[in-house]
Order: sequence, then structure tokens, then C-alpha cells
Amino acid sequence: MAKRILILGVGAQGSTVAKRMNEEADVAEIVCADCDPKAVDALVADLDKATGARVDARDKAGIVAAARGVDLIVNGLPLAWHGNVLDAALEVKAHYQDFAATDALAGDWIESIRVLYDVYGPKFKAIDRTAIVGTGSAPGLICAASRRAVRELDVCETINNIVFEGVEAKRFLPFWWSPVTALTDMGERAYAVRDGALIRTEPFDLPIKRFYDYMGLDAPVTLTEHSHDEPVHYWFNRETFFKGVKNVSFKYGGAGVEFAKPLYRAGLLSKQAENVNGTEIVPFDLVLSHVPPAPKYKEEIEAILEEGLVTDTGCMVVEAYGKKDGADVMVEVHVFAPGLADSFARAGLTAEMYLTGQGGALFTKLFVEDRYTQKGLISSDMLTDEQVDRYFELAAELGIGIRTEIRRV
Amino acid sequence: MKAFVLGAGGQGGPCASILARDKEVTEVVLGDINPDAAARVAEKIGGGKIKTVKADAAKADEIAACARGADVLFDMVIPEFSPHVLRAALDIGAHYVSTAFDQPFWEELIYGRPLTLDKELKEANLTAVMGCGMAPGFINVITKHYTDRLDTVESVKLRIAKKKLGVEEMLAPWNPGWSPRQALLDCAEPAYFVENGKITETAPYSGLEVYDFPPPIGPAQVTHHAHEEPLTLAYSIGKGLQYCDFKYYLSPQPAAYVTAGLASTAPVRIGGAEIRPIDLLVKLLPKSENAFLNEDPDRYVQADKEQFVCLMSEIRGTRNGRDKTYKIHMPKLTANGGKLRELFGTSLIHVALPAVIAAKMALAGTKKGLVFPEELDAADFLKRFLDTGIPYEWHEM
Repeated sequence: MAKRILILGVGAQGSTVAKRMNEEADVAEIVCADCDPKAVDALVADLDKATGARVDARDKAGIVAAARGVDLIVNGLPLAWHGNVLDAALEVKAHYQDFAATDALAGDWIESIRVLYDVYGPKFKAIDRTAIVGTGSAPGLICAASRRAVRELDVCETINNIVFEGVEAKRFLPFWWSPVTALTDMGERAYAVRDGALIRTEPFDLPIKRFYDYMGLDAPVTLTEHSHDEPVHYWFNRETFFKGVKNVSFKYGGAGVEFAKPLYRAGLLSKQAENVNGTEIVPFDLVLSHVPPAPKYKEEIEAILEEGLVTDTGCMVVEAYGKKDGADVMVEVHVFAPGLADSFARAGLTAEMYLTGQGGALFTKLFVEDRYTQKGLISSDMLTDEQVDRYFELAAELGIGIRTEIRRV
Repeated sequence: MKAFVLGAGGQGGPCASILARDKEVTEVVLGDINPDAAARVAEKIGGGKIKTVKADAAKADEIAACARGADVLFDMVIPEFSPHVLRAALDIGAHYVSTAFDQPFWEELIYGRPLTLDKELKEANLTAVMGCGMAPGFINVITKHYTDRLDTVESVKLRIAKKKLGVEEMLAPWNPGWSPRQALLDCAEPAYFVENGKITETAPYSGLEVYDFPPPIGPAQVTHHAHEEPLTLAYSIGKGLQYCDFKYYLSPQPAAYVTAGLASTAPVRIGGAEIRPIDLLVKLLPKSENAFLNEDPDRYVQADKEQFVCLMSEIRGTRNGRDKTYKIHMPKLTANGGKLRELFGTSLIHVALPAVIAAKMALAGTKKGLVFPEELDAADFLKRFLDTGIPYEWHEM
């Protein structure tokens, strides 16, 4: 039966999922909802299956009203409102999908994720529905790639999730997504797993260097610790989905990192007020006021491309170290996706929007195809092998490919 | 020579140290607004020649009173005080040497105006050598040494890069090694270069290119940087100079601050508060420390293995009707720290030693008035420099 989908939040991620689902024969209706009616109207005007709704995410009743009768809620809202959306999905008995694990369900992010698994999981199971969290590119696509890598091992010792974002415009544009989110992530202590324990590490610390010839660079790139969801999810699921992994790191690099590192070093990403000559000022606010927003509209992206790029490269790699048939091996899964120029040519999107939005849309497509057999709440690293394979089959149709290499170490 | 050194910081200390060990120098007075700092520097230098005094670089009268009787006044404070210090030198009839300079001299060079106090210095038969440290300074002299061999000079490209081998200290905040505020202002200022024989303004961090430095630095990104050399070389070299620039290696930390507008002195409103971004940034960055006082001789050998500085001067022109290019490599001036310490009491002589050489040339008799390093006799300068015993070589590539 054709599905009805509510897209909550029509920013870069939500609008991309909406556009992609508009092309699906098995999707009957897409309800596009946001607190910004102009954004809703603009999106609805482009989609023949879409209707619009104005929803204030602070009001659960408003979400429930918009969600009544839908099969799936795709939550593209800021993390703070996820509790309302989860509760609304339970109330209308809808499936649920989001792009990152919320920190709003408990005082601490880890506890909030535990609440997702342990409290919301049983609730979704009780209504025979599936909720899947963390379904963009990272987390999301990279989690599926990690599962693909671990499949090749009997025992997994270490996983490195490596992301380098090397799309750099000639104009000053350090981030291709929300600067608030980017700078907040950059300023936080990272999460990592060491010897089976979840620990915090210093951002920009513990550098590794990698050289991948397909990036077209002369020298290795440097990747450092970065606060992200993946090590946390893998830690929760280390025995059930990651073959007992003991060490997990998220390693990040690129133009945004190079920009943010000196700011962090100087204390400019701090949210604690400083007194400067009698004036109280929060360093983070000062920095934020000087960073341009990410480009969103086609005309903006086109102008950036016309001005020219310094680099248009990147990589997403999973390294999984462990044992296979008694031997020490390393499995490397490389994800290949369109760069900025290619993403814009294909879909009028930035590479960031393309990979995150399309990566998310593929998880939605698994719903449309009724591929989720799990009931309850899962994260994107908890797919079955069949779901992972189907995910990458669908990804290939969008120009997102993977290459798996297995080496003895 | 009786010397007055104003500024007991990272350059003033080495300058006083070199002078205190020089047989031609009979007295060194070290002045600083912070007399305790001056006393600590004097104590480290030791010997009987050095005295200290409190002196405010913003007050020409006070400087003159402290420095009276000196043959040479060494200006080792930040460049915004240069006019006051220069005035004091003129007032007491002393020669003057600085290692950097700023306004009003920059504008005077850019717009071809008479140079401040040049006429008065000439009338007093005094020499003021402006900007004679390492760069500007030593690099100008080396450049002149080679342009002297040419009939025409088409272009001069100056390049500086640094590299630290081994594991980078990923979490250390930016520390330029001297005044963070002044370093940030330098990075944020428009740069000047010579194009088609004319001085041209360009944005900071413009003109990005990859320059191939000798190993172990290798290829490095460099950009235009506000510096004195293109202005003075355009003023002094002649020989039809068409192009001259100064490009500095791209250090990501100040680049990020400047690019994001965080080194700006223009007030901005954040919420209800108004602030100059540079004020917050300087408050957060580590305070400048006195490298001279904190110098660690046990690190000399390791520093030579790990830390590299490279100055390049690439000069194109003609000689006897034929094209000629010189590419001069000037390695780190502070290498062989042990030997330098034996000679000068410190390894940190890269800025101070060229200044001392310039002072000696001023005393011996050279052009009067405001003089830039390349206007000194390059061969004489380099002979005096090497005659100090410094184990240093530059290379033609």
C-alpha cells in the first residue's frame, strides 16, 4: 500500500527526503511541515504529492495533528524537539526516522541515547512500529558502511570512522551546514571507545594521517578526534552488532576543521562569558556572528561555483581491524559520493546536502519498501546484512558507491 | 660605543647581550617601561657594562633623558613607538637603529612623501637605519648584495617559511613568540607589493601560491603579508625594478582569525555588548613571553633537528645584456645555538645581530638621514656580520 509520510522540518535534510520520496511510486502523500510557512510553500510548490502544514515543534498536539494518518514521520528538526516528535509518533502509531540522536531526553547525551534505546525502544515495539535514529550521512551512511566492514571479520578490535570534507570555496565559507551545529561539535570533547569503555577525548587531538590517491591531493590529510554519534552507538551495540569491538574513533578533517582548530585553541569556541575591558562577551557568540550561514538556495550555490573552488574533494572511510580465520586483518570500506560540482549538476545541491539528504532518503526508501523487520527503536548501525546490502544498492543508483578492501596487517 | 637599548623584550635582551660582549662597546644602558624586566635581562647577561633604567617608549623626552650620552639608540620596542624613539635619538645626537617600522614611514614610502625627520637627521649628520633585523634587515642586505651584480633588476620575490618536524602540538594555542596583538595586526593589515614599478595594495592572505622551499621545508603555501621590504626595495634598489613582493608561509591559526574578522579593531555589537574582536582574542591568547629569559640551551640541538626557518630571495634581472636569476637561500639564523651562545650569550640573535652591525656601520660613517638596510654597503655589512664568528652560510641555488 502506498505510504503517507510527514516530513517535519524542511531544511536541507527534510527537503531532500521530500524531493526524493516525491519520485517514489509507493508514496501517496508527503506532508511537509515546518514553523516557516514560506519554506513549506516553496517546497510544496515543487512537489506534486506534497501538502503543507505549519507546525510549531514545541507543541506536541500540533505535531500529532499534522501526523494523524501518516505511516512515517521523518524528523528533520533540531535535537531539542525530538522528544515531542517521538511522543507524537507513538501517539499516532507511526514509524519514525531522524538524522541524529537527541540529547534532550536526559541531562546527559549518553543517558539520552540510553533512553532512546531502553525507553522508546519498547514503546515503539509495543505499537509494532520501527523507529530509526541517526540516518544522515554520518551518522547514517557511515554506520551502514561500518556494518559492511565488520561483516568481513570474525572478531572486531578497532573501528575508525574517517571523514574528510575538503570542499573549500574561494570565498570565506568554512561550513557547508549549520555553523552553530558545526562550531558546537568542534568545541566539545569527543567520544571514543578504548578497551571497551566509552571515554571523552580532546577535540583536534590524536591526529592520524591518511593518503587516498583518489582524493587528488599531493600529501596525506590529517584527521583528529571530533564529537560525533558513531562511537557512542557502536559502544552501545558493541556485542550485538560490532563483534565485541574494543576501540572506536571518529576522525574528522577538512577545511572546517582547519578553520575551527585555531578558534578552539584560543578558547573562542567557549560558551562561558569573558570580561573584556568591562564588557561581558561569550566568545562563541562573537565567532558565530562572523561566520556566514551555509548556502542553501540554488542561486547561492551557483554563485559560489562561479567564483571558483580551492578544492572539491573528500573521503569517507571505515577502517575495521580484527581477526578473520585467525589472521589479523584490516577491512577498509571507502564511500564514494559526488563532490560539490557534481552534486550541484545532479540535484542543485551542495555535496553536504546531497550526501546527508540522500543518505537519509535511502533510509526512508527502506521504509517505503517495507524492508525494516525490526520493531522498536534502532540506530542506523543496527541494520541487518540484507538491509545494508539493499541500502548500498539504492545508494549506487544515486552515484554513491562503496569499495571494500581486505588486507592482512 | 655607548649604546642605549630601548625595550628589554625578546629582541632587546639579545641586543644588549651581543653589545655587552662586544669589545668595541664600553657601556650598555637597557631601558624598559618595566624596570624589573630590564633588571632580569641585565642579570642574565651579567658583566659590568650593562645598566638598566625605566623608560617609556611613548615619551620622546623621557627616552632622550635616559639615553643622553649614547652614541647609538637601539629601538627594540613595537613599531608604533618608532617616531618617539627616533625623535629622542635626534634630540641627543645619537644614531638610531630599529628592526621594524610602521607609520608614518609606510605612507611616506607608498605616496612618495618626504620621510619623517630625514632632513633633520641629515643636518645633524646622523644615520637612522630603519628596519634592520632579520626581515626586514638581513634579507634586504642579501638581496642588495646580489642586485649589485645586475645591470637591471626585473623582480625581487622574498619568501619566508617555517616548519616544525615531528608530532605537532595539536592543542597548544597560537603563540607568535612576540606581541600577539601586534602580530595579529600585521596579519590583518593590507599588504603592499610592487607591480609594473608601482606600489600596489592587496588584501591580507591574497596571492596564494605554493613556493618550493629547500628541504626539509619543501613546497609550502605562501601569501602576501604586510611587511616593509617591498616598500623600501622599491625606494632604494632602482635599476628598473618592476615587481617586488613579500610572501609569508600560511600559518593556519592567524589566517583563521583574520579571515573570520576576529583580528579586527572595528567594534561589533553582540547581543547588547559592543566589543573590538581583537580585544577578546588577545585576552584569550597566551601572553607573550620573554624568549630571551626563557631560552633553554638544552634544547638547542633538538631545535636544530626539528625547527626550520627559511628565507628566500629570488632576484631576476640582466647582466651584460643577458637574463640572470639569483635564488638565495638563507637558512635559520639561530642554528648552532651552542656556538651562538658562546659568542653572543644567546642563540636568539637573528634580529638583534643585524641591528648591531648596522649600528657599527652608522658609527663608522655611512649615508646620513633615514636609511634602509639595502642602502648600507652590502659587502661591508656581510663581512662585518661574518667577522663576528657566526657559523652561518647562505646559499645560491
